[in-house]
Amino acid sequence: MLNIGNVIVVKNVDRDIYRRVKSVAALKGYTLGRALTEAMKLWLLINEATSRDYLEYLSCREKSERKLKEIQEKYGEKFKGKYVIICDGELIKICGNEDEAFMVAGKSNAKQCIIARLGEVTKEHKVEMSMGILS
Amino acid sequence: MKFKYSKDYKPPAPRIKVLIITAKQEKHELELIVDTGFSGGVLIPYSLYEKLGLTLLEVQDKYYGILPIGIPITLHTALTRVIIGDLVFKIHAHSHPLINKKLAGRELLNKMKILLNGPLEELEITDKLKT
Repeated sequence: MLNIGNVIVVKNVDRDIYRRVKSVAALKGYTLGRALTEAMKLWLLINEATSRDYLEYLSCREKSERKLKEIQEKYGEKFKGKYVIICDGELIKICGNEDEAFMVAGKSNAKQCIIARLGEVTKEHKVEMSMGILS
Repeated sequence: MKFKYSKDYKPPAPRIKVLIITAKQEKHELELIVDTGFSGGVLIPYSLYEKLGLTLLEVQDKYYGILPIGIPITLHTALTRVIIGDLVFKIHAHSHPLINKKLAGRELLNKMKILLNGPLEELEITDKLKT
């Protein structure tokens, strides 16, 4: 990006999007600068709202993981094979089967839930992502 | 069952239409680009993952997406059901806030017999594999 006084030059702008913005701005009687400023303000707002929400979700997931570890240590052997539902770091229910656990979690008003099988350790998996992800 | 390739890509890309079951047991229609280079089940943007309530159906295990440049990213992963015509599969749905793609990966694709008819720009699901 190049900034010369009042003029800002931006590289790598999608030309199709640029043309659409220019034509909608013209229809509305906006200058392109005004339309872009509004678009950038909106982008910042959406970004901020999303990230706040996302951070809240991450915090809930972390609490749930801690609780799950505690529950696995406490009840893992006793209730081996049963399903536990932990939402926002709280133990909700221990169910006999997976379908019931899904129903219970799905009805929750929580931000985040983990459905886990008691007596099982947490495993890590690698998922290959293709080049298409980056385009 | 046949699906026309997406012309949003050049050259056109194979896609499938699926119904994904949300946390509230509702069906949500999705168009997924077929990506055999993606080893997971379904990849969707985080905003959609949240909208479908999949944050309520997350699994205990941790999933790391390995980008083509070798960098790992933590994926958010839930177990859900996907319906394609009369076929129903239980698969993992993954998401990440920085990824905006909707993909069907090998975990799902390998459960079906799929014909990619390039000249006709048509994907055909001929059968479900017997497992």
